[in-house]
Amino acid sequence: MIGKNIPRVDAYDKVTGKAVYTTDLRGRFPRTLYMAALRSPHAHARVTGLDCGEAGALPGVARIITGQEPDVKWGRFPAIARPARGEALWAGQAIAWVAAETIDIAREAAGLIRVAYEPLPHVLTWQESLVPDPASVLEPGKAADLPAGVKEEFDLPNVAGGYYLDTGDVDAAFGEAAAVVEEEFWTGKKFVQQMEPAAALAVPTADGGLEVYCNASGVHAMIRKSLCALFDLPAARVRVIQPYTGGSFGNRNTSYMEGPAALMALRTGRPVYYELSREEMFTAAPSAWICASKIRLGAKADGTFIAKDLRLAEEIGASTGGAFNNGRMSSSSTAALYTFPNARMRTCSLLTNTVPTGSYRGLGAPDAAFALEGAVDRLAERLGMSPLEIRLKNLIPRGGADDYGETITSIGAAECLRRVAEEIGVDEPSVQDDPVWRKGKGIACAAKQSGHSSRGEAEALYYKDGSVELRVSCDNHGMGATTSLVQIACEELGVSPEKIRIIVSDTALTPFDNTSASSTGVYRTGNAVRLACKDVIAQLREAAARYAGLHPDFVRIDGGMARFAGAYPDSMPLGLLFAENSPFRQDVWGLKADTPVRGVGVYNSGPLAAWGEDGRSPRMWNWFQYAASAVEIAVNRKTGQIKVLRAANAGDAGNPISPKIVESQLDGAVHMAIGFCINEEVIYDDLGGVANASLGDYRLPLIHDAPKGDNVKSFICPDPLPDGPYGAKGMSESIVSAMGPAIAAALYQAVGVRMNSYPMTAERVLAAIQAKEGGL
Amino acid sequence: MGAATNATNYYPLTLTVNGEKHNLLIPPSRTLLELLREDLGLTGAKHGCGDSNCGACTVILDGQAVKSCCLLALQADGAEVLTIEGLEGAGGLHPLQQAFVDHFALQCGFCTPGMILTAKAILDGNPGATEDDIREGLHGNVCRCTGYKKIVEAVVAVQRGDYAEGGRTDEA
Repeated sequence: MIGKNIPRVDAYDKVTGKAVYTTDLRGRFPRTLYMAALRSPHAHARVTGLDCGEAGALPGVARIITGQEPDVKWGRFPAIARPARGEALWAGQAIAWVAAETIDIAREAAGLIRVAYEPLPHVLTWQESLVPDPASVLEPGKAADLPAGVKEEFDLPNVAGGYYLDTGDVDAAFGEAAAVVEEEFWTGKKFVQQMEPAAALAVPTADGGLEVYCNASGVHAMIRKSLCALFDLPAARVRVIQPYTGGSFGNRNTSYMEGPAALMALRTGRPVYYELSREEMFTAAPSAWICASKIRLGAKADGTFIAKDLRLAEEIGASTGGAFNNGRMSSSSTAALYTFPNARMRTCSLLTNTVPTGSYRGLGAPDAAFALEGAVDRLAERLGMSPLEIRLKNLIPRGGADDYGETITSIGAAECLRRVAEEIGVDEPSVQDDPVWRKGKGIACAAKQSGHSSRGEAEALYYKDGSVELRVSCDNHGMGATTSLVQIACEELGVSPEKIRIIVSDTALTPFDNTSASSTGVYRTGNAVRLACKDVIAQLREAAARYAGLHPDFVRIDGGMARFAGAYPDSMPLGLLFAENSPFRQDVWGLKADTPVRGVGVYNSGPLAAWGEDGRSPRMWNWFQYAASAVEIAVNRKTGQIKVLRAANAGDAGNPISPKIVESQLDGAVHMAIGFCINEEVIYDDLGGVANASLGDYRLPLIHDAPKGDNVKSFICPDPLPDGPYGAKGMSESIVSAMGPAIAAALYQAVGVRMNSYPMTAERVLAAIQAKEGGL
Repeated sequence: MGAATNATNYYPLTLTVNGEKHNLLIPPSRTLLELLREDLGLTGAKHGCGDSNCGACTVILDGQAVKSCCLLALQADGAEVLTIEGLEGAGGLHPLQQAFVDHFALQCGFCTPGMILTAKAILDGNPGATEDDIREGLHGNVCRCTGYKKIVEAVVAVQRGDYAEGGRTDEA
């Protein structure tokens, strides 16, 4: 079962339209109210007047909630879900929410709310904010709390958090280096734009609690926990259900819809449905943080890396009030790929008057990898080595140490690199057959950590008829983990997939799970499923052993049968172990016909180790996934347009449970990365709002942005993870990181310009080409 | 605006959806997508963007793939509409549905109904569609999860007849 391509367990529902998503539940509860928001058009403004009188008088309006709503603990809401109170900190921040009988009435009423704004100066970009005297300071005094190691580098008013690392003697190592490169890089703001808009349906219950249907992540650990904290509700009175979800890419880890919808439901006593428009998915859903980096690398003459110095700032929008960012997550992608005996990192997060950020595929890893890999390419050029050779030479070996001092237990990066290099033939120059479209090749690799330690649980219920109910709270955003979990259960229990029904993410029904963040669904929940199934097997063995008069060691459970060693008969159907109840037989012991054997599995990858004064830790993360991409592109010298002609991508996801699902994740990730390093660009209007907040104006990658047919190839190059289920790790984040630097390298080969920032839009590439040609 | 509270603003509409005839009274502002999802309970067509740029709402109207979020329901008066719910026949899945399952051409599934229906319109209109024709036809449908490789592979497999023997029972 492991490594086989069984059909996805959700495929039938999805190809027939029978899959029910949160957004399909609108109007499914009687007396539902619909919620709309009035949002600030100003990136920064004082709200000097707010009059909801006319709006409130519109027939059909049930309630209006503003930042003045009494008895709300707004400070506990994430920044993205907090309404403006006194000041609006980004264009798109809610001024008020209206609930009405129809969505049309709610929107009309929102338009009738009168707001007086006094515009204030704003900062929209890291360039405007990472300075000693920014036009706008979002959290005055915040920078004073920074650790000394960060302050020495980033003592600036809009810096909100920081991390630093010192390994070895960096200055001495640079002194000994035969080659040193120093470069600055940055990446552009990107929006996630999952296909299903964010939505929540909050239903108040008679006991003062809530039942919430939503497409956020982590029904137990993220959503219910947050709702209980916001409204001081006991856990037992809050039930959260996650139906099928139209994509997350990590971004649904912020629970930002459920709080406002639940507040409205509690205040009106009626079900409330709240869905963001596509425009609001740009202005009121978490964007992704970006990185501005300054990196210095030093190597010996033979190409061995000896020193790294990284200064990195994560731009996190208006994520005020205790964001978890400090640059540590982004910079981690530079810390666990190559061996650096001497490394220094100074990282921080940086506030701006833009939409607050949340997780997005890689957690800043692609942005920091763009800097590392770009610098590695320059070092290779300086030393006269090939980009492939210098990377292979410096990869951390399995069992080696990363910058933090932790041991790398699984790393398939070398095989990933070799595979994609061979496919694209990166050592052979492109054939130039067109004077306008110049071709070039590039290669890069990447690492992504597994995030924080987390606990997952699973229950496996084995019925007399051999059917199995698998209960998990692993997120069901479309990644395919549910199929892999079924495969794991099949393998452990020796049953076929048709016997298993998987039930996902309902706090009243499915056991605790942290959240499937950082590609850990199969790793964490998969291990829990394995343990739950082993528990079932142990109970069945025990029951069969009692029945046969044997020690359980002599019983094997397989394919619905108990098999006995050295006994007669040598086997029996498991169903016979489950006694039928009758008026004359009502035992309370032994297995019962209508009561399944219930196996429980709890898995925790174990605690991480807090980092010390030097920023080092023997267990900073848990494991790393690796990937490599190689591309051949064509660049139009007259327009600057980049076309990806061929892309080969390889991922080390550990042993794949379902190779086809891994492949489709790799294909999709690469396509997504093509979007954010070439096409996707935010444009601000005069007030500091997103001017291109629609799918027509914000250029998501479409089918023509992808190379055709077999010109996109995905390879799986596993290095099994010792503690992964069947050696599986996770995937689909590292794979978005290598595309940007690979394309930048190919661009250099094609037209001789180095882009140290993306998106590499036609306009920006053309400007770079013209600057170079003008300078010749 | 306020249409729901003004009964005089309702207009008669007759259309056939998945072979079933409906006589309805609807306000003129109602889109075909809203009609399908909210009045008929056919939620297979998805609301993704509301301005025709994502394709999740695609249905087939008189043989053509249309983005139902940008079509007023009254424009569909007298038309025959096919939604994803009408594609599976008594004999099983439509070849395109089966091909999407077999080729792992879906992940979150939100774009899938629109992809499959667009693909059906492409192949119905041009049974000899090449890979380029298929890519051109699908360019208005956004997929965030899967890339497009496996989606195109699935459509090409149906085009070349891999599923000709399968449970194709619909006459839509």
